[in-house]
Amino acid sequence: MYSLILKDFLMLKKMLLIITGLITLWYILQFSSIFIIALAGFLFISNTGSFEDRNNSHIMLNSLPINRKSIISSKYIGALIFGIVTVCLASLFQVVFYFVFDAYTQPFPEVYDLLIGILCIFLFTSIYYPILYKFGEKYTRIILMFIGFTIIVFGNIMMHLFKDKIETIKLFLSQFTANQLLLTGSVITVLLFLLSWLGTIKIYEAKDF
Amino acid sequence: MTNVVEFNNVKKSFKNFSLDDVSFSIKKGFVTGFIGANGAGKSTTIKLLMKLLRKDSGNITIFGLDQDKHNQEIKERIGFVYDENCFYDTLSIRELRKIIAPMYQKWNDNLFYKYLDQFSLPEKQPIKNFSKGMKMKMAILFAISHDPEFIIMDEPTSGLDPVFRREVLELLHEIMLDDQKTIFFSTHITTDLDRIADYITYIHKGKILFSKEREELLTEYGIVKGSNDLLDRDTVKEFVSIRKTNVGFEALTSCVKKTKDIFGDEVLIEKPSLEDIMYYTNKGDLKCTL
Repeated sequence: MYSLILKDFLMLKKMLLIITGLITLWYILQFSSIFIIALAGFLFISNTGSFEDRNNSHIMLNSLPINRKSIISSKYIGALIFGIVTVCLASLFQVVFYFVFDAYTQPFPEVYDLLIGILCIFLFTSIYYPILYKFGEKYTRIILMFIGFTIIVFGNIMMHLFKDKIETIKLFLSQFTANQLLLTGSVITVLLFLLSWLGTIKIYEAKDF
Repeated sequence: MTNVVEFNNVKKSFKNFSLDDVSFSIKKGFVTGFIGANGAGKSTTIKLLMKLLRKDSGNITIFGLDQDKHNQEIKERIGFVYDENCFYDTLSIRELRKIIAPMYQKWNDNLFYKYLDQFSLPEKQPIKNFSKGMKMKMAILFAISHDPEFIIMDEPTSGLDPVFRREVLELLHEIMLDDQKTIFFSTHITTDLDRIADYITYIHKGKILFSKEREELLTEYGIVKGSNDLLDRDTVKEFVSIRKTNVGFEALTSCVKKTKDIFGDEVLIEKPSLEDIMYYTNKGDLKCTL
């Protein structure tokens, strides 16, 4: 398992440098921590998937004495490790830039922001890997674009349909505290992450190379 | 004599091709050459052997163990070389070693560096800069550094220049000095097999036509040459297939003894090459134009 995770980080060593550079730039531009962590996660995860298909490496991996479950699990654990490392990096950068820019009023990012950032990584991982292992890299891009487009269109339609009821929705949500909402969101995302993990193992185990 | 591999009635179907009821075995301690035309099912069989494809039905045992139940244990004892590069091409040999070595319990660094030196491969250069020959050497390096008992190679010599092909064959020869090792390799370059193969397994259109000792095969089969007058409705049935020219016919027989009994001294019978056997067997599907 360690070797498989190491492989992803070795493969993306240049990408990791770029991501670190981008995180620095975004902090200089004073972007939100949520945005920074989520986007870094998106870049890392989408690249860990695409190099496998490009290199025809499924044949090599599956000829080694490891089972298919471990190959998939390493991707999910890798995403988790990346999330934690990014949160640490984000915190470190804010400490540094707190002393440089006046805009940062506190030395550490809000815990909420860090948590939501990690949840965004979980959510993207949950959606990306099952699609990637089922349809391959080429179709995954198209499917993700389609999903993004659908969310925008569907969101707009919903906004239009429920524009009179926005106050009611706000009222409904206001009966919960921010902690309760975040906790619910976290539980749902973690469940989705675990389900996606198990589902992707099933997909990969049924695959022919 | 024990078998390292046993295929029993294995079936695998695709849209345009299927392996039909494949049964054969690979003998321990020998080199088995796996031959067949392009698209005959060599790679599919090898992928089934490596569990890269799931079989539709049948049973495969390797080292006497059921492939489905003991996959990891089996792979630990196998070295696999694929005909295309399937290693991450932006990594170097040094980085790949860091990934692959810990996966094998019996990884042997002394062996790895011995072959690295013997193959004169650069350790720190990304493998995307390697030539085809270097990539094949590297694939072999990673396949044999855990000292496997059984080496499976899918077309290891295809696309390589004659010098390097000879080097690969010599290496296989060196490995086979240990009589506990077994090699199974597919090829359509039959002259490679003349050098090292003890057994030949022949696949044709998804079916195993034979799996025999090479010497036995070359004794049983023969190239028959004679006058066209000798061919009639009954005698053509004695041949796998026939090539007819103005000066006479040339045909392949799968039973030299019977052919001698029928034709006596009227025909000339020569020892066939593996290429002859492949050529005439493939042609055998065509309707005889007599």
